[in-house]
Amino acid sequence: MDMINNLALGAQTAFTLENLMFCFFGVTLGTLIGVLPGIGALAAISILLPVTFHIPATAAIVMLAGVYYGAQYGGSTAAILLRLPGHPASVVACLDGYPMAQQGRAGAALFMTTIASFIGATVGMLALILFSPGIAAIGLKFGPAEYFALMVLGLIAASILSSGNALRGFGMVVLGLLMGVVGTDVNTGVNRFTFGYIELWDGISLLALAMGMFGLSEVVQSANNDDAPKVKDKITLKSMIPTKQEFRDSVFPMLRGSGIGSFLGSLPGAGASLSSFMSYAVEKKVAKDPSRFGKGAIEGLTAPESANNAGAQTSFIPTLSLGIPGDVVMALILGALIIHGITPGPQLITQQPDLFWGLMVSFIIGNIMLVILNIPMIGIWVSLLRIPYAALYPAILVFISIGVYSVNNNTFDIIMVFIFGVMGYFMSLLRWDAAPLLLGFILGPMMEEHFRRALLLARGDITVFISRPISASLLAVAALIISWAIVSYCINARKRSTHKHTNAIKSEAG
Amino acid sequence: MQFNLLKRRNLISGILLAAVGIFAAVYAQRYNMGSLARMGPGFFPVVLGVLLGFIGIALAAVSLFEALDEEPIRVEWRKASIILGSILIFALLLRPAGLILATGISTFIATMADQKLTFYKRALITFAVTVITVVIFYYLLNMRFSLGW
Repeated sequence: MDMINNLALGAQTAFTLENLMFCFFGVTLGTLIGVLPGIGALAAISILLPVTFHIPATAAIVMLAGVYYGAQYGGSTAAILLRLPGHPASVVACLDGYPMAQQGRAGAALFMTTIASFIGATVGMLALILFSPGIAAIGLKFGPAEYFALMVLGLIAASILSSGNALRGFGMVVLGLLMGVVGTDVNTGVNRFTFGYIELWDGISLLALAMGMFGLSEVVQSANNDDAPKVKDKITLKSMIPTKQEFRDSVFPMLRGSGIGSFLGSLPGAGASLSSFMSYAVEKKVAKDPSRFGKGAIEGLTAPESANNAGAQTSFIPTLSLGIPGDVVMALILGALIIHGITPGPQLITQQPDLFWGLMVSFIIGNIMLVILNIPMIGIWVSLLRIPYAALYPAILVFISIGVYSVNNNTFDIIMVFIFGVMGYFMSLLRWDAAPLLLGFILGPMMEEHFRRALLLARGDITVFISRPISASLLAVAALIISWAIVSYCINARKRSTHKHTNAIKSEAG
Repeated sequence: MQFNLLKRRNLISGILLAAVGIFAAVYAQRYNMGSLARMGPGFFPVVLGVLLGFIGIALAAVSLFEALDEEPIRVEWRKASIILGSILIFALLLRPAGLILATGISTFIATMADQKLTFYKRALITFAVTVITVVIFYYLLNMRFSLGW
C-alpha cells in the first residue's frame, strides 16, 4: 500500500508540465550525445550543470538523469553502424553489432538493442524502487564513523577498479580530496589554500572544474581528428523487424544481462561499462556455440545492452539512498543536489519524498520516451551521424562559456573553466583519469566532516573506525581491494618479465 | 637503452603528484593542527598532503622498473592553444565588446583548430553559431547580455 502511495506522489511530481519537459529534453539530449561519438554523457552533464542553477531541484535531477540513461540507449547506434562506440559501455556493442550491420541486419540490431535497453532499464528500475528505501533505512542508523568508512571504501573501489593503474587512480582521488579542501573551513572559518583570492573562499567551483576537465578537454581531444566513417545504411522501419529466431535467442540473455547489470551497477566503482563486458563474457560462456560471437551473435549484442542500462539505473541506489556516488556521473548528480541545498544521504527519501519518488516515476516516463525516440525516430539519429564534428565543437565551446557565465554573471568563472581546461589537457597527456579526481573532490568535504565528527564523538580515539563492526567491515573490504590490487600487480609484473625472458631466449635462438 | 622521459608518464606523474602533496603538507603547516579529538583546519590537508606525497613517490619509484610507454607524450600545441584560447578570448571580450563580437571572434578562432575547413566553411560555422547563440540566450532565454551595439 505504501508503495502505491509513494508512486502516486511521484506521479504527481513527475507529470507536471515542467518536469515532463525537462525529462524529455534530458532523454533527447542523452540519445543525441550517446549517438554522436566524440562527446559523452559526462561532458554533456558537465556542460548542463549551469542550467540546474536556474531550475528547481527535481527538474534539474530529472534532466541530468535523463541525459545519463538516454546516452545508454543512444550509445549503441554508432557502435552498430560505424563500429565507433558512442561511450565506453558501448564498446561491447561493436563486437557483434557491427558484424550484424555488415550482414544487412543493422535495422534489426538497432531495434533489438532498444528493446534490450528497455528491459534492462525496467529491471534496474524495479531494483532501485524496491531496495532504495530499505538501504536508506539501514543508512539512517549509520554514524559518522560508518559514513567515513563507506566513503573510503567507495573511493578506493572507484579509483582502483576503474583505472588500469591502482596507484595512479588512488593518487587522483587524493588530489581531488585536496582540491576539495580549498575554501573556508566550515568548523573554524579559516580560509584554506585560497592564496589571497576572494573568489576561492567558497571553494573551487564544481562547475568550472567539471566543465574544464570534462567538457573542454574532451573537445580539445576530439577536434581535428581524422574524419569518421560515414553511414551508408538506410534504416527503414521495415528493416528493423527482427526475425523470430533473433527475438527468441535474446530473451534469456537480456534477463541475465539485466541481472548482472543491476547487481554490478549498484556497487561503487563498477559502473555500466564493467557490467556490459561482464555480461558479454557470461553469454559467451553459456552459449552452445561460442564461435558465433564476434560474427553477429544477437545475444552478444542484447545481453550487454540490457546490462549497461540496468546498471545505469541501479547506480542511483547508493547515490540516492546513502549519498555515496558510485561513479563520477553520480557524483555530478550529487553535486547538483548540493547546489540546491539538499543534503544527500539516507534522510533524502523521507525528507524529500516528492523528489525521490518523482525521479523514480520520471525514469519510467523517460524510458518509454526513449523507446519512442529510438524506434520510430531512429532515422533522425542516423542522419545526425552525418554532421561533421567541425560544425559542432565551436558551438559546444560557446555553450560552455555562456553556461558558466550565466550562474554568477561573472567572467572570472569562464577563466576558471579555461584554467581547468588547460589542466585537464595536460592531465590527459599524462593519462590521468579525471573521474576519480572529481569523485574525491565532491566527497572530500563530506569525508572531512564525518572524519572530524567521528573523532570528536570518540574523544580522539582513532580506534573508533575499527571498534564499530560496520565501519570495521567496510574498511576491511577496502583493505581487501587494496591487497588484491597489489597482488594482481605483482602477478602481472612477473608474467611480463617471464614473457620478456622467453622472448629474449627466442630472439637469441632465432 | 636510452632514458626517454616522454615515454615515462608514470615517472612524471609520480614526481608531480609528490610535489603537490609535499607542497600541500608544508603549506598547511600555517593552519592549526588541533588534536585528534578537536581537529583544526590543518589536520585533514596535512594528512592528505603526506598521503599524496607517498603515493607520488611510490608511483615514481615503481615506474623505474616498468617498461616504457608505447607512445611518447605528444602535445598538440596548435590545436590545444586554439581551442583553449578561444574560451579565454570569449571571457575577455564578453564585457567590453558584447555578446555578438565575443561569440563571433571566439568561434572563428575555434574553427581554426580543424585544419581541413575552408575559409568559406569557417565563416559559415561562425555565422550560424553566432545567430543560434544570440537567438537562444538573448531572445529566448532573456539572459542579460549587452549585444555590442
